[in-house]
Amino acid sequence: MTAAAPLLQVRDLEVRFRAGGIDLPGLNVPGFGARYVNAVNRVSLSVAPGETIGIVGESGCGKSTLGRAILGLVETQGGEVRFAGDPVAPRDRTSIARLRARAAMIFQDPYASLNPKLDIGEAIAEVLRVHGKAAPDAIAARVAELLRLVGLSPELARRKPHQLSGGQCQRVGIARALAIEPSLIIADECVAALDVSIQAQILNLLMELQRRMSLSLVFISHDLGVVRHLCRRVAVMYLGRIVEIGLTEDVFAAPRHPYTRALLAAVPDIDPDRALAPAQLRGEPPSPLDLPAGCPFHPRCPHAQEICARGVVPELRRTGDIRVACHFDLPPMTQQGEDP
Amino acid sequence: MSLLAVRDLAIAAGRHLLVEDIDLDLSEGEVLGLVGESGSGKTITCRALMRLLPEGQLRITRGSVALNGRDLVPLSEAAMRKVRGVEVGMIFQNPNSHLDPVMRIGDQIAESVRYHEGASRADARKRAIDLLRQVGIPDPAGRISAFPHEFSGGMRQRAMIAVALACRPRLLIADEPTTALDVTVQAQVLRLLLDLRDRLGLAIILVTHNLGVVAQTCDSLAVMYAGRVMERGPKRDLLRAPAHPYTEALLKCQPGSAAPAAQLPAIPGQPPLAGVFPEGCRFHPRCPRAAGICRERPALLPAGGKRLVACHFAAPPRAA
Repeated sequence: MTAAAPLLQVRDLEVRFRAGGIDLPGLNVPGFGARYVNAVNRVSLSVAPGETIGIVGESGCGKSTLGRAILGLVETQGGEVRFAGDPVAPRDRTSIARLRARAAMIFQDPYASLNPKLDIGEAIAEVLRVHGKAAPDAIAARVAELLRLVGLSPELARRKPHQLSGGQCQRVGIARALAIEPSLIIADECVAALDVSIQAQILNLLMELQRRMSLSLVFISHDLGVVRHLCRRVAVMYLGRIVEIGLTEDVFAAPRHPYTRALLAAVPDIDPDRALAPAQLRGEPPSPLDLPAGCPFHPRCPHAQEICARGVVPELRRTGDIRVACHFDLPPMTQQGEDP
Repeated sequence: MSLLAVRDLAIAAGRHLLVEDIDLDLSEGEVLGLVGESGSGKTITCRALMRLLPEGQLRITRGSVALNGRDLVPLSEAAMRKVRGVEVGMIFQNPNSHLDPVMRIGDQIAESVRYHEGASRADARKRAIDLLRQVGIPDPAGRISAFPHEFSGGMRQRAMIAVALACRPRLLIADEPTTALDVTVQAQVLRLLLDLRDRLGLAIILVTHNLGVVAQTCDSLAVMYAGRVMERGPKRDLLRAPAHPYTEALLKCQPGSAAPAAQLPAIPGQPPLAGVFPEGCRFHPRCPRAAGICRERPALLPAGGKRLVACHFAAPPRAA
């Protein structure tokens, strides 16, 4: 798998948002200068053709911003995105257009991502027209084909989004993404708003499409169960950084980073004979505006030592097949999934 | 005698029956999970228990809700106001819309103590500090004068629990209390609810769509679909050996229950829209076992042990 040239390469990507304060050059009054949130902090990853990678983490960890930054939907402050070997120039419209002709996004809220005034046939046709993917007289047939591909009846083309269920709207969102015949899809929490029976239908659809079209998929989700099911590799983010990345089965079987461990232990298991695990983490993630010194996870980390609070931010380093950003090699977890 | 006994409850919007045949029982210290997908009627059932249905839109058309043996359905609004808060507390998915943004947290807790118990300002304040401590908020004496926006999401959920418990109710109705929380914070709040149950003997109705949450916290379980209870009984029985095809299908389509990358056994079709339910068993259009008899409505009947099932194909109780 590693032999294939990666389709998507992200290197040291940085996204910073202004969060209040006054942005005046030379202004140096404490508490008045512009403040920034480092939403994505030097993130690197690569995705092979046909591969699925999951990006997991809690709210505010930067996973959605990372997805948007890859497609040039938010401005980046540093680093590089390469698609099919070519660097993407974020400010160059033709470069962005070239990227978006082959990479599409699926969003969380299926209603909000569709124009309520367009019927869904029109919403799909729009994509075909903008990207010149079908001749004008072939558009209707292609729309019907795309609807069938995502498991919808072509008769639904005349409906407006509000006449469809959430699951049906999400299928339309997928049809719109597929309309450009993409080689990469970035799916941002695309099943989070769906009931579990409908979620299973959409996951099945994604897996099937992916196999048939050898799509690469960046699957952003807070749901570890879904990621485990769908993704070959997984990256765990905390406060804008990747803290652990590796093959899904390795990371889930033997997580190395204390945050990954706590995250996995906190997922309520469907097994009725497993008691609720004691809460592993105290408190909540700190404000990204006011990151702690050293390792950003250290105030909540059960293994934190002095070095974690004052030392440098730990870089990702390889241990076995996993890369992990922690100063320590923690002993393996016990059978019960708790730290020894 | 059970703390709460709901019998034959039905809720209608105009001429459409949205929820019917609801039977539930809950004893002291028991956690009952009310599970179902969106539109299954779990939230309006909870609101009906508290008589909090939006006036003029939804109404209880049938049935009784007995709390400590007293039926709440015929009570006046004034009498209900005493039940809410004093006998039953309620918490919701989104603390932001249920905490007053311009009122200090401590005052929101003290308000109901002063209103219902006529406590003095000082006593109510003491109770508020004690409650904040009980729900695990650090520095309760200091945080009592904070506003909701100064709290994080998890802390707001804790504060809402403190408000709900201010007058020491015996029953807590929790409607998706952890759905908006991150998983590590969810674990903390669930742990808190179980601690409160153990310490105070609180009975809890936990409304959720998350079967993992149910498996880890509930004693018993009621699975709702399209406005009816499909199956009800001890948690372990239902999760280990579901008797209703819907319960079974719901368990099977969880991503954790299939091999990675395998197709999930999804439930075909869509749940029906509220009020336009299919005839007979409401699950039959999506049910793999459906047959002709499913056009007749199955009653919720005992199916062995403490389990009740509304399915024509559920095994009849074995003769003891």
